Amino acid sequence: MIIVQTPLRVSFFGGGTDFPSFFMEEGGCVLSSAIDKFVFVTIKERFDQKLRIGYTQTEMVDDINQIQHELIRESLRFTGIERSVEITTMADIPSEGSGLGSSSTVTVGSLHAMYAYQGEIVTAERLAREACTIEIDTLKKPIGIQDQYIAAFGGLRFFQFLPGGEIKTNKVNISPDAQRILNDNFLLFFTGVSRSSSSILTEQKSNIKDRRAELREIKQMAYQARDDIEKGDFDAMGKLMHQSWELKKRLAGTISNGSINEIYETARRAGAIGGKIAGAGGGGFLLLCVPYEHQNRVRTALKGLQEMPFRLEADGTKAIFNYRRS
Amino acid sequence: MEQIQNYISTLQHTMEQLPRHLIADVIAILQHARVRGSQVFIMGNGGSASTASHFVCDLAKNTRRDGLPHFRVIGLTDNMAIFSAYANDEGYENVFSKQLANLIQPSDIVIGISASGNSKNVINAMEEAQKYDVTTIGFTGFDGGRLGQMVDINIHVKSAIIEHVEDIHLMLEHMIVKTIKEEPQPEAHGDAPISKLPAEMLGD
Repeated sequence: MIIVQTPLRVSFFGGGTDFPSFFMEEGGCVLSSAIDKFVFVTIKERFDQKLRIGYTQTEMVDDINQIQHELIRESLRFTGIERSVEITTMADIPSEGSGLGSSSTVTVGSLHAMYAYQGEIVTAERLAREACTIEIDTLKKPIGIQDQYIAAFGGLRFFQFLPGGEIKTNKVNISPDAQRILNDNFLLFFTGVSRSSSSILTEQKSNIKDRRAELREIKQMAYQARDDIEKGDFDAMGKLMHQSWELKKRLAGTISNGSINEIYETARRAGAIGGKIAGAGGGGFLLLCVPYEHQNRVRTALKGLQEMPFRLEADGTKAIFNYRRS
Repeated sequence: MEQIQNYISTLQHTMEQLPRHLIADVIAILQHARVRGSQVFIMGNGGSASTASHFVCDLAKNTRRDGLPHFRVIGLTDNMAIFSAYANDEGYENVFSKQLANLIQPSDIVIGISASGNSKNVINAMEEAQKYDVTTIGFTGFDGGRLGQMVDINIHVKSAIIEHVEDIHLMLEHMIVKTIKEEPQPEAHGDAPISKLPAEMLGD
């Protein structure tokens, strides 16, 4: 039996510029971090020939083509496992629409577990690349490519997506102390709205042609934010996050909505400098940049919402248990 | 014909003896300087002045890349007004050191090119540089001279033939720039996995 732990992420800046239709022409970049909330994928050999997949539902099938969970089905196909396994996924967050990159995290974690099950050691780069292939090429998901890479690599990172399809990444250069302070400036609240990112992303993707100017600006902000972080100027980063969110709302009408705007404005009045809906938007988790001294005020103002305490996570996907019988 | 063949084979032999690990060190130092935003200064006399200017040009122009800071590089041989002013008023031995005194800051890189290793103005500039916490690099020939002994890294061309020394100094410049241009860069702080997705998959 193998258990693979793969981190979710918060995306601070640059979301949208990781869509192939944008970065293949102009290049994109993203500033994001893995967090200490995870998707766990377990895989174990079965005595019989069947495939059993457990998540919010349970599937028991004879043939991989019958599997409904498409990310697991295609990961199995990709890694060449055809029968006699039991796979389960568990997560620290609600299963859909968190905005924390969970779909790609599941794909990266599944691939990792399946390779480990076959005794093959693979790099983070390969896991990320193959997860992109499964989600974008095989399943035609209207998504970007940042989540696959941050789930595989972990850490607080800056990614660059070059027009040739090349991906570059480096850790953001800050001391452990500065990273702790940075972490202390952010809060995550669950808005109570789960949403499927696909519809929003489809709208965003179809809008890319006429939203180029905004995406260019978002890209510049990601560079600026990296510099702000490296200088330790987290207030500047928060202000930039506010601007970026205002801009992002223009990318797709569904990214924000009345109730999210209201929550956000409430948080701002209580002392939040900036913030954004995590991921594609529309619901899920709200990330807020709040100076430490105003945090209790913000918590009180948002008291109907569930807070999820979190830390930035250094590790990418990793097998935390690996016990193979054969 | 024999002389020509002799030039080529002697040059080849000298090239073989280049200290490759030190050249790699220079490349690494320059790449880090670039990411840090440190200034690079380059100087020399005669053919070495020409190599210095050439180095400045190539390092500034040919290494540009998206997502990385450009090189901040200045030639101390390239401003004739200030060069001749110091030469005329304060002595030729001070033409580089006085320019440096205005500009140099800790963590900068100073490169001196001198075939003999004994050019007084280059040595004075290195002495000026060493008052700061900088990295000094020499391109030398012959026995390395004083310059070879005083710099942090001495790329020494083991030859007493001035033409060969100057040939190889120019070649070193190109070797360094080409490597910086083509190799995976030290992403802003060291950690640079690079991945590539097939373009046909990403096309709309």
